[in-house]
Amino acid sequence: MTAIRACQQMSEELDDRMLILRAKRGDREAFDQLVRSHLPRVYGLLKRIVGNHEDAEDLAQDTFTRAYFALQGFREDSAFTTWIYRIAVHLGRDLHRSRRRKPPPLSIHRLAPGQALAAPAASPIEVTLRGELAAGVAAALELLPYRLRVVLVLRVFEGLAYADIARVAGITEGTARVQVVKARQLLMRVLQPMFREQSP
Amino acid sequence: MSCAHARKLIQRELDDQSSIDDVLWLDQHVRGCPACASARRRGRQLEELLWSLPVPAAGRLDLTGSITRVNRAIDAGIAARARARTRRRRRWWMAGLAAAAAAAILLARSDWPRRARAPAPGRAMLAEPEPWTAPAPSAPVGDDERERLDHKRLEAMRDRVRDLFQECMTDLAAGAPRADVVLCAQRFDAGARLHRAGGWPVVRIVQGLVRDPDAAVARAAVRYLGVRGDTLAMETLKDALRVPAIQADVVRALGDAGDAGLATLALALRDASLEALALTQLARQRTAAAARVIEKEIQRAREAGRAPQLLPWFDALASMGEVAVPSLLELAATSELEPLAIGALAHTDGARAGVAGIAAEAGARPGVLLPVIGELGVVAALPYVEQQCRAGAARDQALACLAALGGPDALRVLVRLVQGGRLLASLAASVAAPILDRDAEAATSLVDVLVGDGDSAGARVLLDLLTERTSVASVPALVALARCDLLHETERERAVAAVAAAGTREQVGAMRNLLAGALPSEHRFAAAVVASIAALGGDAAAEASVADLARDRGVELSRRATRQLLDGMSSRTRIAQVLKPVIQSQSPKTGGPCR
Repeated sequence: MTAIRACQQMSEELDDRMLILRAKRGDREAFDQLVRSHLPRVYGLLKRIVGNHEDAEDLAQDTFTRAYFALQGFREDSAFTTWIYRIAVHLGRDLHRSRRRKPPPLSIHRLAPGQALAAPAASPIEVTLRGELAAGVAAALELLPYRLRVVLVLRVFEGLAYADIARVAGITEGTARVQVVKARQLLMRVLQPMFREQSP
Repeated sequence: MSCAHARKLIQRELDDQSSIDDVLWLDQHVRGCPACASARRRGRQLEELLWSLPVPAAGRLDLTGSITRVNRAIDAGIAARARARTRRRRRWWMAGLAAAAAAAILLARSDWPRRARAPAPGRAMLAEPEPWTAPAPSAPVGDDERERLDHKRLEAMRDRVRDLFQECMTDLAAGAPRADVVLCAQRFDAGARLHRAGGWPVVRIVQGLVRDPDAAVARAAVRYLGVRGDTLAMETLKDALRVPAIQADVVRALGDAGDAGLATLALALRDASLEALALTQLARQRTAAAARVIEKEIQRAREAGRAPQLLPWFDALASMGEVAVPSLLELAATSELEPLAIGALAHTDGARAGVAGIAAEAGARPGVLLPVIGELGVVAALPYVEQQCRAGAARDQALACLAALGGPDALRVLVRLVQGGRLLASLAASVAAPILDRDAEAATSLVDVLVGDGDSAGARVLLDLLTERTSVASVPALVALARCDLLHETERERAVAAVAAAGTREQVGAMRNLLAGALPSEHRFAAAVVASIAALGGDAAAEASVADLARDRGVELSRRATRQLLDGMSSRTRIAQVLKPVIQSQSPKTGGPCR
């Protein structure tokens, strides 16, 4: 998340407060506006967590349906985004549990043939320019256990503070920190072939 | 402090939670700890890789359709809830009716006063269930409640952080050195310590200040992020590079960021207005990675047809010293850039040591390396050149390189190659000729070395080389060989004959010295020296030399012998006959191998 996006988020939250008040009074138009402004972000979060468009879209819609009926219980002691993320993450977890099967051991070799990684490039420019890199990293992300994937996505891509991650994932702040470190370590292991070795 | 602390700081850095002091401490630690340096590098690379993921395309999301579906689901949910409530009410109604009937029966049987009759079950209970309506509005949020809302506090915090930032950082002059930025950043970090401890995203707020309407704040924010040098800061700087008002500060900030800023500095190099500043920042870093960035961009510019304008880029590389040598060698491999690259290498401090180091590594490319070794005169790379002469593939280049290097060491390599049967003496002589033309002393010095090593075979090969193409330049070395006891008498005679062929009157003195030092058994050699003196200085000089020798040895030459000598000047045998009694009168010499 860039700084610009972080600032945008702050000002959006100011608008959200008014919309939430109106929606709580039963204004469906205000709720529609909330959906319109937050659905893409919730979809983005779910897409990174569940890994495919169809599930992410369905879950995003379910998230807002649930949110509508739970809106009266929203006490506004956290940002609306945090609250809606919590619903989304819980729905994602339910889906994950319903489809759960024992994952094979974490390894880069589990990447699909189309996602095979090329040798690491020599310079950061080349690295960023490589299109296939993104596919490899995304695939590696999907190999992470669900709870670790969620905290990493919330921390790295959504830029949430640990306190917010803890609220969203329903864990303590300390656990959130530990899980992010663990997720990074696992990813480093699985992405090992993609790291460039530079001379110091 | 331990590596464990460093690992904690690395995690904190990845989390954007580190202070400038943390970053500086970590910088210092990783300089001396390869394991932590690797861990930090991998952490940053992981962040880079994660950041390289595209944002999930919201384009695939049918927003209007989704909102419609959400509304439909909400309506369905409302209807379902209403039905559920109706069912619940019906159940209660049935239960209530049964209870009322039972009560009525009981009452009818009893004499319960009629005044005590309860009203009929409420109309509401009997009426159709009300349709579901939206929840009633909650009470307006009070002031205290509002204070608890995150966004409100975040806004306030943003203002506080901005004020603090303005107070601590905006005194920085444009183009201030990194040390000044660090001082200001430390002041700001100390001020923001409590905010950070409270979990506020201080760094993110500073990132937002890059787009602040106050240019001084925006510039200071850019420099602050440069000193931090983490992945998120670099992303922000990359975005900010597009803002013309702060571009120059962004480039300086990228320079402050070290390796982390290199990728974006490469982008800045492609902008003509930022090129000079970006080059300065890269050159200032003096790291192999920075040199490599310049190298890649030079190649890129060459492909774009900008080769003639690249001199400042090569100057930048040359100013980086030894770390730039591998990059300059790479560039020298491109024929279009070779003159510029070799010119830059010639002006690079430590280039010779760098080239020698690369030559010592396995896999060095002779096609690139040999011309550079010759051009720069990297004598330390002679073993590599010799190896290439033996290998055969790049032998011609290696021989040319030897000729360019010159000196006694290059000559000795030639001698060894001939000795080992890797090179014909005639070819070696043609390589040695320019060496001797440039430095006549080289061969004489080599003779001294060979004598010192007792290398008689080497001395013989050198004699072959020098007599193959005799020139004035080789005469001093031939004189030295003529004096050399490592050689056989007949070989020394060859040396003397070669001196006679190529020398001048100046060598007469040296020849007379040779004559004076001849051993009693060497009357033939002495005769050759006298013949050589006759060739160089005339018969009179030869006669005088013999007379002096006889006087020194206490031998009186008869008039007949003198006449024989003069008559026999053209015949070495006759001269030897005359000289024999003179030479043999000398007691055998003892001492070193050379006279």
